[in-house]
Amino acid sequence: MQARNRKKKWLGPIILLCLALVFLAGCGGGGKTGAGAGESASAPKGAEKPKEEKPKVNFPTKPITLICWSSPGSPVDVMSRQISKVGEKYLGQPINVLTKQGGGGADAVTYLLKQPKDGYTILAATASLAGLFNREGIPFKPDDIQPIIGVQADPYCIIVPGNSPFKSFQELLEYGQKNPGKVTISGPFAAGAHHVRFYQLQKIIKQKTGKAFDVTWVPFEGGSEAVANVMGGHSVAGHTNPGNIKAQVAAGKLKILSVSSEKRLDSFPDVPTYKEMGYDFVAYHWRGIVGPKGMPQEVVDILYQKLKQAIEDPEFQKYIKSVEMISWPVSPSEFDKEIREFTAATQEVVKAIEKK
Amino acid sequence: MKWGVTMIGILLIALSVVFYLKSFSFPPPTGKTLGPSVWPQLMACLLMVLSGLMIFNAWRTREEAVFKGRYYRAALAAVVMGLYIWLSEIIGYIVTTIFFIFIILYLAGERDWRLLIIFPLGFTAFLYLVFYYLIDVPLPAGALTGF
Amino acid sequence: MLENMLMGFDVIFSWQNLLLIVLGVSIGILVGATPGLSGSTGVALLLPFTFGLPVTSSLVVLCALYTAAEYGGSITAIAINTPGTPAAVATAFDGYPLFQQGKGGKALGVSIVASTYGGLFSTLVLIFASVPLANFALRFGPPEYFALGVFGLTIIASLSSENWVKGFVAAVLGLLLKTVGVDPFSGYPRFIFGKFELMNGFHIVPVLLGLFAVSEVFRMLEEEIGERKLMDKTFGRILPTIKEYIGLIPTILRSGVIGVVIGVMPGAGATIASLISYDQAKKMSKNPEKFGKGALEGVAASEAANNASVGGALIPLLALGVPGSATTAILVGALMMKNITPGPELFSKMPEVVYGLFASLLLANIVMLIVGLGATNIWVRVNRIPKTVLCAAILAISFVGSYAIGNSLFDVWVLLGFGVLGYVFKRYGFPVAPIVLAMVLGFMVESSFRRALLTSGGDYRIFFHSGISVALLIMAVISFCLPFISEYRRRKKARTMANIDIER
Repeated sequence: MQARNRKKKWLGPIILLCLALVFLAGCGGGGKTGAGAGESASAPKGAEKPKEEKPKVNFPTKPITLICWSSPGSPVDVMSRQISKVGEKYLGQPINVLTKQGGGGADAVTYLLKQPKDGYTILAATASLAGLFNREGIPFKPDDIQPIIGVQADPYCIIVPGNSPFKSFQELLEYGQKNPGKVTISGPFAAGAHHVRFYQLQKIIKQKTGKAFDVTWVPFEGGSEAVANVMGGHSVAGHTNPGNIKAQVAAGKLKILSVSSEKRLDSFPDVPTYKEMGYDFVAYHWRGIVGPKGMPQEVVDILYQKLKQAIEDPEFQKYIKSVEMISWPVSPSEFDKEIREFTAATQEVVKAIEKK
Repeated sequence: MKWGVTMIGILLIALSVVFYLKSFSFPPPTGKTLGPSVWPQLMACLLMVLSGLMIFNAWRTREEAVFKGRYYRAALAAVVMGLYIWLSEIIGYIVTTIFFIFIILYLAGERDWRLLIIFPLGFTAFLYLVFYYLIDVPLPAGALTGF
Repeated sequence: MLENMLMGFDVIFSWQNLLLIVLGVSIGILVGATPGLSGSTGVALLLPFTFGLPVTSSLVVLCALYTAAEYGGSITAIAINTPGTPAAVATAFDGYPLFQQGKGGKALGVSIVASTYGGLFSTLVLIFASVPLANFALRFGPPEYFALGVFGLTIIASLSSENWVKGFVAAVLGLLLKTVGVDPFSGYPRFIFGKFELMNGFHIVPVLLGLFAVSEVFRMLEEEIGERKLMDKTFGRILPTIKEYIGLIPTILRSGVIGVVIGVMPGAGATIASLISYDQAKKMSKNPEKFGKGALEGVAASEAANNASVGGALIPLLALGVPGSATTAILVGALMMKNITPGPELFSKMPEVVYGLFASLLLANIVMLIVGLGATNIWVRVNRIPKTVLCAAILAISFVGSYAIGNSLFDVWVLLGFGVLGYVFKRYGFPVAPIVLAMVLGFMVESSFRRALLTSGGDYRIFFHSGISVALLIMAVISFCLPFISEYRRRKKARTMANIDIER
């Protein structure tokens, strides 16, 4: 009697829980089913390898897994989910986002390289990939990666607190050149993409003006902590991306001095580019899709063409605009060139740090 | 008790020596601040001193073990769990989990055969449904079995 | 303000939104109670399902989940010594002993009430004082974060009052292990020994599950637990009395304030808030020796603080556009998906979103109270599950919980490693709480110290430039010495008592 009673009371909440969760899953719809993600993950042997001899490849015939190495809600994750939403329209198969954090991205890349090279497992990569290639103990090289398509390019910008005495990039630069090391710049990890790009900018400035622009890089674990540090006036300036600071600039808490895009940004028409100030520095924090080396060329082509259409879709364009980015659907070979160039640039900075 | 604490102390001292020596290969500081090796070195030294003090204390005072039981059962459980983690990638999550739960139940002293059969099956099914289907966790699939 | 709040409630009061709040709270409690899944994972998991909903509705359900998850973590912390979320670790210190003594109902009753209070208080602070508090948080630069971290670390002294050498050994071991991983200042991976999975160091979730849950199972396995004890039906089901609640009011009020203030800091979070508030409760208590053995104040302090940090973390998000925690960072992503940039503009541009959010947070906390009190009787029944089943279930859940963090077996090996460490430490009388504390705060102390020196150009005086950091450092010294002084006094008193006895 007692036992039965206990069981019944136990059952109630469990059934309720199941109902709630089923209802939840039902609400979402959108083809993102667990079974899809599982299927590709649970069949590592990949029975249906695309036949390479045949001229026309039937791809995709099953859901695609897009690995994301960063935490949900991060810019890459948001991009991956947008790609998954819009890309399904063009590829005709669902794209499931699989979060694989750990090792600062190394886990995700290793996982990708272990999967069958059939195009059903791809990875959303960012400029941080270059940092990974340059880390000690990392077993993979740019040669192991098959770039598929670039997706978006995020310009860099210099920010100062709202009450900063510096009104323009030139003023900051002059002060910095007169007082070496006095300008503190908050940003993400040392030897990360933001740091490497700033290093490149410093080199260009030195070439152009003949005087070094020595600053102190103050690294943070996260981009938003670095921005908060600048807002509080604890460092002279910061190196970040315009999408992160739109609201703070509008509220007068931050000023944006320069952007690294080709042309001025629509949301900040008063902010000059480095190019118009006379420094040949156009740089973007890129994000794109890569696969493992050894994928059939046809599959790479299909993915490139279909994802390009997805990126050009008005829905995706609306998202890109809202986060202050630029769409960057470059071809696999161009993307490959960019990855290799940036990996070399990162290596230079890593060497410089180790020498100091 | 004092032998146990001494062993722990020696292991901790060994660990801090390894960390201390390893930190010499770190790059120098960037800018006018401490380099990456200073803080770990400080902590390693502190751990060495404290561990030494702890060993000294253990021999000076009498202390009783907090719980005295059959520690081999705990050790066995740890080994079983290690095997479970290792095999889950080879045989697959479902099969290994069923066996793991069964073994732990048995190890804990459960002898009710109905429970020993129903619970491993039921709980594995529950975990698999919740984590695999509802929240999309790609649980390890066996290289041999495929599930 | 009042008008806006009324508008907020107006926006929320539709049956869909109310249903979403109930749904968000229920899922939040379950997600929080599941080891390895915390508020941030819950919000991230639910995020794709909210794409189809209007902005307010999606925020309603996500924030309800966020709030409830912070409470949910306490359930497993109390019932099976397995903190469901990292911030519930301090809840386990006293909650689990209470549960074992058959006072589970009391611990859970205190936990839900303290959580609700923390949530409601922080929402009110969010509504009325977000701008000044956000500006206060901005005054925290590297030296202030360093001082805060040092202040937090001084808790070790009071966590290890039984045997301070062993407590310090545990803490320093935690600090040393925390240095594993890439150093942000040089980009160099420290102590990874060829394992690139260690690039980001040890994840806190497998560490916590190992030290608390797995080690506890190993300890239970040592004992004779084969035969089932027949428990009294009412065992552990008694809820706290009104008198007990009244006695906890000062603790809960103080902890709410600590939770909000620390929650506001983008560089600190719920875990630090609940640990500091636990320590404060212990220092203010008349019976500090009861802490760690089953003090209701400990549960109340920890839970009021971690729920108060929810509202705190939303403050910089709304007032400055800077997320104050991992979960709010995901909320930024959710807003971005709807083409909304969070920040101060939101108040004037989309007041219905902001005040709708406030209204839903208030409602979510009340729903949480009802659901939580109603479900307390279910959780208490955990002690009627045979211990054999409990052992197996805890280990299996810890496995998936750790695996789910990064979908990697490496985290499960970390779980086992820390499980063995925790077991050995407990067996030989080492407290494990200092390891957790050190691993939560160690990186903050080291990195803000180095960052402060970078900012000042190597000038150590920077730590004494601001009033905040000086005040925090002085508080740290006091907080560090206090347990030793009271211990000394206690011993002296005991000695004089003994002397008196002899004289008689």
